Amino acid sequence: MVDRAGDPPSMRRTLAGLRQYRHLLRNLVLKDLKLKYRGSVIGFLWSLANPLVMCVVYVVAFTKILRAGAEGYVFYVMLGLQAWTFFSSSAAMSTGAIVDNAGLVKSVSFPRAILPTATVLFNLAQYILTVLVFLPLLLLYYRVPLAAPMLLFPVFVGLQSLFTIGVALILATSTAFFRDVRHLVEVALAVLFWTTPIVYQVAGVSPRLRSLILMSPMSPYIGAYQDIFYYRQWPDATLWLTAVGYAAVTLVLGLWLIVRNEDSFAERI
Amino acid sequence: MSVVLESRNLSKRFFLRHNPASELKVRLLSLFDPSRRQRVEEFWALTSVSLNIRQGESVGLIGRNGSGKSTFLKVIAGIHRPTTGKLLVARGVRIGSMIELGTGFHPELTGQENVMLNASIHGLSRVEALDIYAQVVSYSGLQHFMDVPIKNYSSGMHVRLGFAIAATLDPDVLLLDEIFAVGDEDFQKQCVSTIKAFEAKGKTIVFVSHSPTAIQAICDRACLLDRGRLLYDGTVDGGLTEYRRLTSASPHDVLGPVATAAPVAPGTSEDAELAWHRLASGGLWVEEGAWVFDFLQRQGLRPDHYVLDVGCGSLSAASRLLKFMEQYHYWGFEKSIELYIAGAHIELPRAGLRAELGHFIVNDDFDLSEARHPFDVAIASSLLRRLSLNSITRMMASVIRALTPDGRFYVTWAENPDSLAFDRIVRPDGTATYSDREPFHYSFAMLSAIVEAIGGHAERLDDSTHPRGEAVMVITRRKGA
Repeated sequence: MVDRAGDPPSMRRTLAGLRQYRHLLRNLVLKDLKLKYRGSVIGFLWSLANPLVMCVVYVVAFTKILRAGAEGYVFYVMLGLQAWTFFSSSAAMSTGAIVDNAGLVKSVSFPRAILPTATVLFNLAQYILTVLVFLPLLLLYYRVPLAAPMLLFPVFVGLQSLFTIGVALILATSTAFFRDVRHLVEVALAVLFWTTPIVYQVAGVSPRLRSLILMSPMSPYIGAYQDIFYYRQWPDATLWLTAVGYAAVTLVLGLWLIVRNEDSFAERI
Repeated sequence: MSVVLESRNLSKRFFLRHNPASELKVRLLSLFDPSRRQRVEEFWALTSVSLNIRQGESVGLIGRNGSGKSTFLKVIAGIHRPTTGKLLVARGVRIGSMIELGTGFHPELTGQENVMLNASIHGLSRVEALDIYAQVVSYSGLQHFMDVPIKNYSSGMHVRLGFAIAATLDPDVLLLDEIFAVGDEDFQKQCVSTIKAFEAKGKTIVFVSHSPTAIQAICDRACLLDRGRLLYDGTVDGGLTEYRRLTSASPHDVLGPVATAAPVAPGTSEDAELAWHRLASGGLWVEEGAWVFDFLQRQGLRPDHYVLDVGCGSLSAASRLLKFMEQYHYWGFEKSIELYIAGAHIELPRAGLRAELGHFIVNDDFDLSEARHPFDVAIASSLLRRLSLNSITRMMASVIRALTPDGRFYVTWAENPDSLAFDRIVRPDGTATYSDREPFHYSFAMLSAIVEAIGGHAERLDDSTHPRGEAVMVITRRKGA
């Protein structure tokens, strides 16, 4: 006889569970993708419209109104904006990953970490699709020569995804215990957007604030995309360190948090 | 057959949160105003449930709403973790956690997409899911609807698809919660035959339902849960009888009818036998009252005696004794106010009597200090089966103190012939009694020792006329005690 509760929640159990349930992860992501575009006429094009419109807004604001835009400003903004959208919609959606699936959580047992992870992967899939459309167009339009640092793109998308999964695990777990997290996230995302060099350049920031901006959680990832595509240079050591560090810390923290609370979700939501 | 599931002293505690602190507002306000603080109330959904389920058994879990059935199922399914105790599962046994059919179905997805998604929710790989897909479709009979979004399904079709998946996943233990709530007759027949086929393959089923028909059709064993405790574990018929007794005895469901039934004219109706307050003592309301009256007369009861009826319940004996005794010479004691009210408002008017002819004491702790006169005769019929030894001691001490020096206290009890046997005993009337849970049985030696300890003397009477087959003893005050 095996004690049903004898295998206490642990990272090992969760990681093994994630492996065992990888088909569920895949199906959840596919479900969200299908549902998103089912019944809409232009389907996937909607995903392109959002960054495009936001980009036009920022370009008009910065180059026409503030007259502050640099050369190739559209390219610069688009790089950051798409990566930012990936992060911010993942974070916003992940708050509901567990509480909005109460029916499932209360009647089937599976590793709960699957749910927020699926949310992030769904947004990642959309990010990759929009990048596949926009990046070649922008590179062609601005006649950007291909450069070796661009090969690092998948590496940083991977790091950003790990970081985002960590954040999603933390947010999904804490929303189960504090419903206010949802509203807090909205505010925090607004603050984070402006402390990340997306629509402005770090070079233009006053030296006192510069290091603060560079330490902002999303700065290393967005900074990396700008480095490799816009400046066509290798990211420096500090950027590497922060990018890897942030991803590792949030991921471990997120896993620890969800594993510790996994058994109480069914009672708390 | 080997044991596949073992629940060992399993308890599950939930916290009911008043002013839940999941709202930050509550946390903040509680800093200034203590009354706003989160109040957490403990709620034991299951207390010390111990049972073994063997391979091939079909166990029906029955009980009222909130009795802990579904919680128990969820502990088996691994959704809830036991607070104390253990739930053991035989090695390698796959548990199909179909707590609710069709959970995880998404209304916008087609039937096919939902089957694939649901299969993966239950841990199947893509290949395995494709393997079972054809079976699911043919079983559900929804071939023409598989490419239609589930939102266009009727609730019956919804369950049909859910059950088809549950049946096809082919687990070793199938957990089912109220699957017959929807679905047409054909489908229900199909369910039953599938479950039968399951049983034939030697699989184990744990089935929660409120429907006696479904339980009878499917199960070969019934477990009755009430307020988190396992009250009965045995045959299906026995379990359903106990369950009916429980539901009809619950004052919560029937306090309404008490008020509306009050003006019932004297006379008899067939429904009267089924009123909850008559069933609360386990049925036999008429027989019980008649026996007490006849028995006391045989023991020489005179109208000028003072008589105490301990556990007078809904006044089955009172409706005869009040007629016989002189005014104010009958005293009734009862713990349950609901039963007393039902007796006074329904049974006495029916018998053409008023409660004012006697005295009644209603309290929780057998406090008889209100009695103004010592009693010549006292009786407690079918009461001990509902009392633990501690309560019996208190009750007896209280009654012995209220007797005249020659007073006689008659007590009936479900007898355990052997003080060292702790098994359940099945009574001639089909009910079972236990040494450690309600309904209780006790050995004479044990009860007699208690009586001695509290200043009385117990003697067994040779009388086998009690309607429940309970043994009878008479207790007197020990001289000089």
